[in-house]
Amino acid sequence: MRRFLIVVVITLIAAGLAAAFSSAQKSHKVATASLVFGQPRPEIQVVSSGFSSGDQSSQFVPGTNASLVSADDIARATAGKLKVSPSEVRDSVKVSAQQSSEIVQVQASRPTAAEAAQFANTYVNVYVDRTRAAERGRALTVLRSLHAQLESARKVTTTRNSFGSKSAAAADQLRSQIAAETALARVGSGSPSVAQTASPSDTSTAPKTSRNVLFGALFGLVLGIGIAGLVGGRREGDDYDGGIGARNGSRERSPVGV
Amino acid sequence: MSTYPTTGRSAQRWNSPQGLSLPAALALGVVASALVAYLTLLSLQAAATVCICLLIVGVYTRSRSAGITLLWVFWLAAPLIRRLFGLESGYLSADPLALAPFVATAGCVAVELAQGGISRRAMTVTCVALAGYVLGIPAGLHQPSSMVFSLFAYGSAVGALLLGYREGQRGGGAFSMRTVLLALGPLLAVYAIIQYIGPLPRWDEVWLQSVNFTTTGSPLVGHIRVWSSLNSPGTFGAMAGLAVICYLASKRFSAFTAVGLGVVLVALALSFVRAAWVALVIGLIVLAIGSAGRSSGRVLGAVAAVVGITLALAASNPTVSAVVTRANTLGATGGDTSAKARIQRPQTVIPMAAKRPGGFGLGSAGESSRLSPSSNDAIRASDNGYLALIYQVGLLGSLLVLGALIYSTRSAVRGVLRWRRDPASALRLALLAFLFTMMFFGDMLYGITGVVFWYVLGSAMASEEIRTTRRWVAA
Repeated sequence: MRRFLIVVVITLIAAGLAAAFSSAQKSHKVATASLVFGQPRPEIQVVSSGFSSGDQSSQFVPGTNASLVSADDIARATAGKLKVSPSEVRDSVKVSAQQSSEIVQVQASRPTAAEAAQFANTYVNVYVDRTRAAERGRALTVLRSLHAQLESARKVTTTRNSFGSKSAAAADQLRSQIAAETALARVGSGSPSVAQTASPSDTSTAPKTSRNVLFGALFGLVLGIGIAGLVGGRREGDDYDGGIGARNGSRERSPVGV
Repeated sequence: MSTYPTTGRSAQRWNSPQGLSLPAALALGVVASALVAYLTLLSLQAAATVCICLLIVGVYTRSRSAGITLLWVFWLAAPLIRRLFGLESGYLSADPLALAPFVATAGCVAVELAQGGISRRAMTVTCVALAGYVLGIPAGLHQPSSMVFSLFAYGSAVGALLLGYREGQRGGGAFSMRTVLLALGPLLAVYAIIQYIGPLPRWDEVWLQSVNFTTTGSPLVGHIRVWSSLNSPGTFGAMAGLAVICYLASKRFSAFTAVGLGVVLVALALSFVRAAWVALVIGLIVLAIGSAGRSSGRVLGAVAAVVGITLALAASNPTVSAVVTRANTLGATGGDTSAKARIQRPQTVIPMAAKRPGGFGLGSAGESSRLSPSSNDAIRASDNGYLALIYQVGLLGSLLVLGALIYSTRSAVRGVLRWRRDPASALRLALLAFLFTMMFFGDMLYGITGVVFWYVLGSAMASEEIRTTRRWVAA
């Protein structure tokens, strides 16, 4: 009866405290947007089959992508767009990557669903825009270099192809590279791209009070049974406490643990 | 005649003066409830860890039989519980629940140490093994998280020797691990078969997508290597192999035993863990010899049934054919990447270990090295338990650990040689033969297999001491 009382009391206390802690937390909504990394999109590959996003099969790739997305300058740029402080963005946004996948999830926690969705969407858009801008900048630099090389190649080498027209082999190669870089500069590689935008109607609420109370009661029950076992009293049944010596009544002389 | 002096207090019964009073229990309950309620909001895994560990230690304090049974069940179910919680709150790389079975084991060991009544010999063996691991601490300090986790994991497994010892003191072939494996083996096996047939349960599928897990590919396209409720096919293969030995060493071989054995054998085959197959053969040979022929008939019958069914179905069933092909790779390692890596591993590790006799530090090999991103990945996939030990704790440390293992195994060998009618002695030796063989293919001193290893050794030591005492008392 004493142990039963302990179990009941601890279960009720744990459930009650879980409810109290949960209610004391500020209610907030969580919205999720996601980015997809990986190879350039198919329509981009048509015009620029020469470039790729590198080996995406490595086990380090998901972690690297998540680190890039959670970089501090993205938080600062997002804060600038949203007109809030960077620390507010850092506190509200959580970036995570799934192992063995090219998806990076951006979760934003805010008091309202609309705000949460706005934070998540702005954050992923800022990251994509910055990546595209950096990509375009590099592509334009390379493009200028390629044009300069093309000019030089035209002056130096020419060959006759099978159709009889005059052409420069090196120049042909450079032209195809220029085409690829032009496409890259205009539309980007398409990686990363927004795989899913956050919607105000598709948010989860935290804290989940009913879930917390349920788990609090369950854990309290388990805890109560454990603590009831620690309460003094005779051990149940003929457990193997005494070893052979105790059963033989030779506690004084037995050499084995009794 | 040898005697085994005890350390400290005797193992008297626990009467009411021992244990908590009602107000103390309620006070502890309130504090623990507050902690658990708070943790529930932060991490379900952390809250579950606190509750389950307290439950197991509390139940063990009240009833050793119930407590140790609960502990075995938890070891077998903990990875599944992690996956179920993962569905709710996401998967964590450093999940507190991963630590929970070790904490629960350490808690039960602490209860035994507080009780006293352990022979000096058992305590010495435990301390020597622990000293071996402690030698790996200085070199492991550069990876503190891995080192601490490893020390705790290996240390709590060594502590299981005391749990086995206490249970062995009971006499009469008491062996809770066997009881749990016989009861839960078929359930785990059926779950494994369901995983193989597919589709995977949602918690397994989400977990597989979330973790970097490369050993689940089955030779048969569209299927997986099963892991049941455990955390890898290798661990499941080891536990299934141990269960098969327990089935074949049963005192009574009923229809239930035969069905259970059959289902577990199928699951073991579907794990495609060749190391477990090889170790099982060795274990069964030892069981047949150690039981002085009593188990030979069953072993031969089981082998004949397996061979017969395999030959009958190999041509028509792609799964059986894949199992046969996998078994054939044991003899032809040329095209087998895994086998070639295992063969080459000693050639790389032994020269490295020879250069650093103090070892590379506890936690520098095996699963715990995952906790340190800076680890050099030299022997993360511990393909050889002996090498992993030498690599981590150096030559002296490994000699201490292996010395403790071999010294305790001597009790199991003596048990078989002196008491040929005792089926429990033959079972212990067969289980040890299985685990020693498996050590050539993986680290069996870590996790559930480590706990089993030291527990069986403790049981063998206690059994030997009890028989010696009986003869001493009779004389």
